[in-house]
Amino acid sequence: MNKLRLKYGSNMVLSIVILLGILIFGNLVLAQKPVKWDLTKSKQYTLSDKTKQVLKNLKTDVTVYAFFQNDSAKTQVQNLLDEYTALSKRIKVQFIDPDKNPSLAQKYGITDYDTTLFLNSKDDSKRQIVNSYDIFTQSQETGQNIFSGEQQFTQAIINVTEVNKINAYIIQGHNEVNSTDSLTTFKSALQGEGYSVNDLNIGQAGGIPKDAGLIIIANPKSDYTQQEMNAIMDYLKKGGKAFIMMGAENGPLTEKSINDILSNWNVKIDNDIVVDPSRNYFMDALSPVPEYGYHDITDKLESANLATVAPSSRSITYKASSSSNISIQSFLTTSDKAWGETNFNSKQASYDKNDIKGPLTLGVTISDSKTGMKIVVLGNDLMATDRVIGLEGNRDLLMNSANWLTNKTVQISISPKSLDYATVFMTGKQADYMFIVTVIVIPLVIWIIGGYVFFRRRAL
Amino acid sequence: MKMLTIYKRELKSYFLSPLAYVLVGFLLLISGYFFATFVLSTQYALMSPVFGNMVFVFMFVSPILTMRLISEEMKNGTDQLLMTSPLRITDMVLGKYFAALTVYTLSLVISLIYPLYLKIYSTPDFGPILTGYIGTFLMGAAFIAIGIFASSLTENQLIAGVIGFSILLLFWIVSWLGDVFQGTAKNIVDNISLLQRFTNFQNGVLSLNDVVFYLSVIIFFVFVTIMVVDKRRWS
Repeated sequence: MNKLRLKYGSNMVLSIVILLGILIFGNLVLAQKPVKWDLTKSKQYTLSDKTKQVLKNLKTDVTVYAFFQNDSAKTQVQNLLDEYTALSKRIKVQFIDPDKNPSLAQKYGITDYDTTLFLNSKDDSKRQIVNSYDIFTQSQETGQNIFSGEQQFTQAIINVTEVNKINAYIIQGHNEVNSTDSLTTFKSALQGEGYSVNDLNIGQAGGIPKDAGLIIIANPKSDYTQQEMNAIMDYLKKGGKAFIMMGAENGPLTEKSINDILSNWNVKIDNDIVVDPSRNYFMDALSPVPEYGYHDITDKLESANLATVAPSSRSITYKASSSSNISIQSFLTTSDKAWGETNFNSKQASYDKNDIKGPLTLGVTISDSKTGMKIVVLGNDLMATDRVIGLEGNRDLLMNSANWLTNKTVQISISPKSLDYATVFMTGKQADYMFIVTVIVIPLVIWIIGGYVFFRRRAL
Repeated sequence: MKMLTIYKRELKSYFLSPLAYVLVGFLLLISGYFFATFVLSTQYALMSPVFGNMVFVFMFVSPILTMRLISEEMKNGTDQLLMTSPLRITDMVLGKYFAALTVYTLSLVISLIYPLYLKIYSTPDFGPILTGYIGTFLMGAAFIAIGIFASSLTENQLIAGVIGFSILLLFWIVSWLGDVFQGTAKNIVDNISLLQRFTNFQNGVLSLNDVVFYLSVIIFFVFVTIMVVDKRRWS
């Protein structure tokens, strides 16, 4: 009898193990190539052909760090990134709660929740940050919530894998804002966007290096030499990109080089300091909070309600270009109550006939569609300094400007998905009825039937 | 056909006793409460949160539904009768399994009044509702398979219920480990978690992998139940 029992016992264990093996094997085989159907109306979980193509052609590994807390934004992004990882083994995603693991966030300069960071796995200086306001937006027309995660993520993957790292040079040597003392946050923010940032003394380097993708000029206090000017002009003519920031914190504008350069496109930095009694930061009329113009640099900030604070600004005047390939656009303007104070010595600033009447322009972009040249001119450089960059959306404005200059903005087009769920319209009475039917009537009916059956049987 | 005989007998015993009515009514009370409060407070024509709550409640209800299925036969000694009868054990287990599944399915069918309400007062996206029902059904079917397995282990109904509930709870909370582990361990934990698999259904994505996973769990536990009962026959 014991033998028989043992025989059947081991047979049983064996057959259970075999079945388990078959089931696990079957599941593993299926896991290699997921088969799924997206049954949502808006095809919420289906990637576009464009993304599929990008993922198919991916030649380098991409690491994605998503700094999210447990909320609906995380679910949304996780679902989307799951689609990416299902399609490509080269994408590795890791979700990180920035509160529990602040060191990694710090390492990559992540300061906000719901930020997704894309890194080239081989070379993590090739990286791109996608902010939450990049992916969660609201339609201007309908006010609907829109999720454009796929467009942003796919572009970020393209950027970190295909585009070579962009070299940004901060020009030094003319008493510009000191890059090592005052621009550390600005520099690390640029590095966070995948730039390689170095100082450049044009004279010592004998010109602007060939690998320069962007030059940054932050408020020089002495003039550039003719040779240096030639180097800059030469660079721009060949399609160079320049980020020029000229604030008023040092008093009157004494040096001419910048205006000499800008005069080529009829743009001029005024010798004034902007006073805006109407739109400003904490009642300080000298710290204007400009309005955004319709521009790629600012439209996301506008919808995300991120303001820009520009203390000690100069105004910029410009003439519309007559040439068809040159486009000049303003993207920051003051209120019409503002004026450009030209008297730097007056204790009590007030508008007089020497001053420049508002609304004033604080930022313009110049672009040449023929050569690819792009210039961003800001009447402010304090914004980029460690003290002021953290205020409101300053850092985002600067990064958006740099990315616009270097064409790192979204080039692919994938239509975003509307997040809106159908809403239920009910009168109060209908709502009451629904509650009563679903919560009270249905269970009660079932219990009454049960009670009837039970007691009738007992009575029998 | 022998399976059908058992199935009918079990179903009869469910509906001639108050058990099925009490459980179905309770399940629908809680689901109805979640449905009504969610829809009325958010005004969204959505059911995905309701499905999550339905399976959560059924996790507590299913051990009660299944605990007596096999243990009662053992206690009354009727299992001897069944086993010596020409009925195959497979027929017996499957008949009982499908009877319990039918009770559960009935409550799902009654709950179709929720999407009906959404249809009347809104234009809901029926894709996620359909997948949600498929997922809720599969999840419940897996719970019942685990419950019937627990019932085959002991002739004490209450202990069977507790064992069943413990296994379910373990399957449920194993996904929490996913937040603790990283890499492969996390992958494994995520993949065996019944809960983790459920999100796709809730979102409106019907994945063959998920369906096969639930079917695997069901097949495994039903098979082990048959083995356990079969073993008793020889001991």
